[in-house]
Amino acid sequence: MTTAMQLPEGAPEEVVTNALVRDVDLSPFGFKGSLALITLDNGLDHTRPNTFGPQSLMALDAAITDAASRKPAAIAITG
Amino acid sequence: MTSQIRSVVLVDAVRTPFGKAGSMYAGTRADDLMVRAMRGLLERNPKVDPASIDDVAIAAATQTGDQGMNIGRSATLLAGLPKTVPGYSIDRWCAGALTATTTVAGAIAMGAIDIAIAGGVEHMGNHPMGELMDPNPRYLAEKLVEQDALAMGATAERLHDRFPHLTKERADAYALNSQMKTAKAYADGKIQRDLIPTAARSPELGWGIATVDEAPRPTTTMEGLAGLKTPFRPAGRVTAGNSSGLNDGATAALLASEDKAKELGLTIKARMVTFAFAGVEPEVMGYGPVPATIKALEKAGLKIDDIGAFEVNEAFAVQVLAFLDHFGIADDDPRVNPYGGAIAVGHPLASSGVRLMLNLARTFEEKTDVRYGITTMCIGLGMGGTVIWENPHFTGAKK
Repeated sequence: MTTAMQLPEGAPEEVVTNALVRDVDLSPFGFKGSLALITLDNGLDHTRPNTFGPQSLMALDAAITDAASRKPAAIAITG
Repeated sequence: MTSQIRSVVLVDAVRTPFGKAGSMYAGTRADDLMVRAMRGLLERNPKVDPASIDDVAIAAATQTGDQGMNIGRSATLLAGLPKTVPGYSIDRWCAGALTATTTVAGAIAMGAIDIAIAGGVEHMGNHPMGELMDPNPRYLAEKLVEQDALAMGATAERLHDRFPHLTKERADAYALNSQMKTAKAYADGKIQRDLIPTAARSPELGWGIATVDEAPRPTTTMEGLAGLKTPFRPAGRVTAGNSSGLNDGATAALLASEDKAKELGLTIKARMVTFAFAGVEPEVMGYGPVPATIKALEKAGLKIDDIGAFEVNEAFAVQVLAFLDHFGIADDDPRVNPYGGAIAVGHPLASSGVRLMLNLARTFEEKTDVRYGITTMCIGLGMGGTVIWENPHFTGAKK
C-alpha cells in the first residue's frame, strides 16, 4: 500500500521521474513469455539525470506492482 | 609493385527492423540505428577483430543533423570501434548502401584494404525526403529536367505513361504479391534471422525492442489497392499501396577479400562478380536498373538467362515491372524478390542496397543450383545500379 508523501515546506519542487511499464515479447530471443520493462523517464531526455523524490518513488512502486501483476518471465528497469 | 585484382566477398549483412517514418523510431536517432546495425553485425562475426576493419563507408541521402557529421566516421566511433578505424560517408540517394558496397569492394579488389563495413541509414521521420534541398534554378529555367524529375512519385507516373501496357492493375497485382511473399517469409522465419533487435523509445510507452518490420500489410487485397488515392496525379496510377513507404532503418554489411575471409575462417555468403551504374532521363528514373543491368551483364560476360536470382528494389511497382518487362521476365517470376520487397517492408532510402544483398545471400544458401544473382535498384535524378554476385554454395545447375 502506498500513501501520499509531502515534501517538507520550502523544499524545491520535485522533478518527477515517471515509471512506464511495457511488455517485451521474449520469443525472438529464444525465451518464453515476456519481459516487463520499466522505463524511468523524467521527460528531460539526456539533459537531466533521473532523480527520486517522493512522487518518483511512488511512481516506481506502482510500476513494479503493475509489472509483477503481468506475470512476466522477468522484470527489468532502464532509463 | 603491380596491383592485382582480388576476389571480393560478402561475409555477412544485417539490418535493423524497418519502421514507418516517425513511428516506432520517432524517439530514436538515426546514428543510433546505424550503430545498432554495425554492432549487431560485429556480434554475429566474432572472428573479425574490430581493429582489423580497414574502413567503414556509410550512406545517407540527407547528411545533416543525426545523419550528418560524417556519419561513416561518427557511427564508427559511436559503435565503439577502435579509434584507429576510419570511416567516410557516401551519397547516391537510394543506392547509397549499394554504392558504399561497390566503393569498398573496389578498394578491396585493388588491395588497398582487406576488410570493411558498408551500410546505410535513413531516418525519413527525422529527415523527410527533400529536406533542405535547394535545386539549382537552372534545372527548370533551362529545362535540364522537367518538374516531374524532382518528385519520385511523379517519375513513376511518367513510367506508366511511357509503357502504357504496365497498367495500374499490374502494378497493384505486383504490390499484392510483394505483401504476400513478405507475409510468407515472416511466417517461415526467413526475414527475422537477419534483423538486429533494436531499442526504440516512445514517450508514452517507454523503451521497447523492435524485432520486426513495422510496415508490412499482410491483409492487403486487390480491392483495397484499387481504391487508394493517386497523390501524384489526378486519376493517376501510383498509390501508397503500389509504392514503397517512407521509412526509418539502417543496414550494415561486412565485405572482405576472399583470401582474408578464408584466412580468418569467415562465412562467404556471396562473391562479387562486377557492378555498374548508369544514367537515364531523370523524369523516368525508375528505368535506371535496365541500362545498369545491361552494362553489368556485358562487363561480366553474362546473359540475363544466366541470372537465377533477382533482388530488385521496389521503390515503385511500375519500376520493377519495367525492368522485368524489358528482360522478358514474368511479373510473378519466383526468382524475383522471393521474400517480398520494399513495397512491404519499406525503403529507408540509402539503407536499402544492403537489404537486397542480405536477401540474395539467403536465396543463395537455399538454392545451390543458382550460380549468379543480381541486386539492382533505381536512383533519383535518373540512375540505376546493379551488382552481380556469384553463389559460393553453387553445386551445379539443375538438369
